[in-house]
Amino acid sequence: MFKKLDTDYAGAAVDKNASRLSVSILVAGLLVLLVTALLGYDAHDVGLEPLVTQSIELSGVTNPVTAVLLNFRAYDTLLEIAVLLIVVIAVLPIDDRRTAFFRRVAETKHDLVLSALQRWIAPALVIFAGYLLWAGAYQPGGAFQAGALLAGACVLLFQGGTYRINYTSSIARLLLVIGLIIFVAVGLALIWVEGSLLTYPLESSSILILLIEACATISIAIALASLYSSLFDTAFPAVNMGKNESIT
Amino acid sequence: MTSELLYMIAGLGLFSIGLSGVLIAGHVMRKILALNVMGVGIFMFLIALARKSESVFDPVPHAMVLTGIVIAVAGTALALNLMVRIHNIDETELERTRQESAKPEKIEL
Repeated sequence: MFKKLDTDYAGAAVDKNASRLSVSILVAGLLVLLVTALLGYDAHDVGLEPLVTQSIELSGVTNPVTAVLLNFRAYDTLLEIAVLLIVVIAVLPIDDRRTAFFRRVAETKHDLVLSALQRWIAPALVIFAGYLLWAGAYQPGGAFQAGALLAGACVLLFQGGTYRINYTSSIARLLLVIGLIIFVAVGLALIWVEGSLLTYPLESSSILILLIEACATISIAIALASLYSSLFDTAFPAVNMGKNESIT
Repeated sequence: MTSELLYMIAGLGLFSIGLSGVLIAGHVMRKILALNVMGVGIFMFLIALARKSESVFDPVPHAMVLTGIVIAVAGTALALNLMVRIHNIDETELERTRQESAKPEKIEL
């Protein structure tokens, strides 16, 4: 499969062994250089850990990673969600606006293991994602982990082959952008209240962080799942064509 | 030699393996996989760098890695999608377009 993407197959212009050898020597040299630089560098006393520990009370959460992600360096997370959305926009087809969120595809072979997994694991995944989202405030967890779990539940649903989420429907589009919209809206509202972008007021910072994280979780989940499904649809367009009947 | 140092060197090793894969590999799919190996090496290096002592760690590299993982997934998805689309291009169609565009045209200055 995908033979013509292989540049060797198309006829490589250079001597393959010579290029391999020279690349290996260069990369090995780089590795030696990096390791010697690492051995001569003491990273023990540098870093922002004391600063984060010092101001953790101001952040509204007690988990330092969440504090960095959603408070101290919230710009990074905002832009990250924007990057994810841009990739989804680049990948998703632009038609099919007026379709239902769920659709039923042509009946495929019934798989006992898959359907059991869907019945037992998918609801547990949703609950566990909610727990991770909540736990992110004080222990490892948060929007990205929860979003990845929800996306896993969506992929499990996709694998069953009976129901598909229509990622081009208007509900899915709304869910895709809601994380970024809420993030930007909160940031802009805080300019008005506090005077600068994404500077949370002390008393409401934890609830604002939770609101942003909850919306980001949904967007991340739908974005990751739509990337998976669009990749599948692009690679095997024939599977999806034909008898689609919408439900709901 | 501490265990962090071992992990950091292993991360650099993964980075080098990925880099040589990107440079050597012929197939686009292999190049994308090698890019991911490179990214994983960097994540491993950063996580090992973040550890200061038994229980103290620097949360900033952790947050960077968390961000980086999502961006890496998004980038890989985009690359794979482009790969499949390039593969699906109808070659005869492409050839016809090429011939049409190769025709001499009147250029007005």
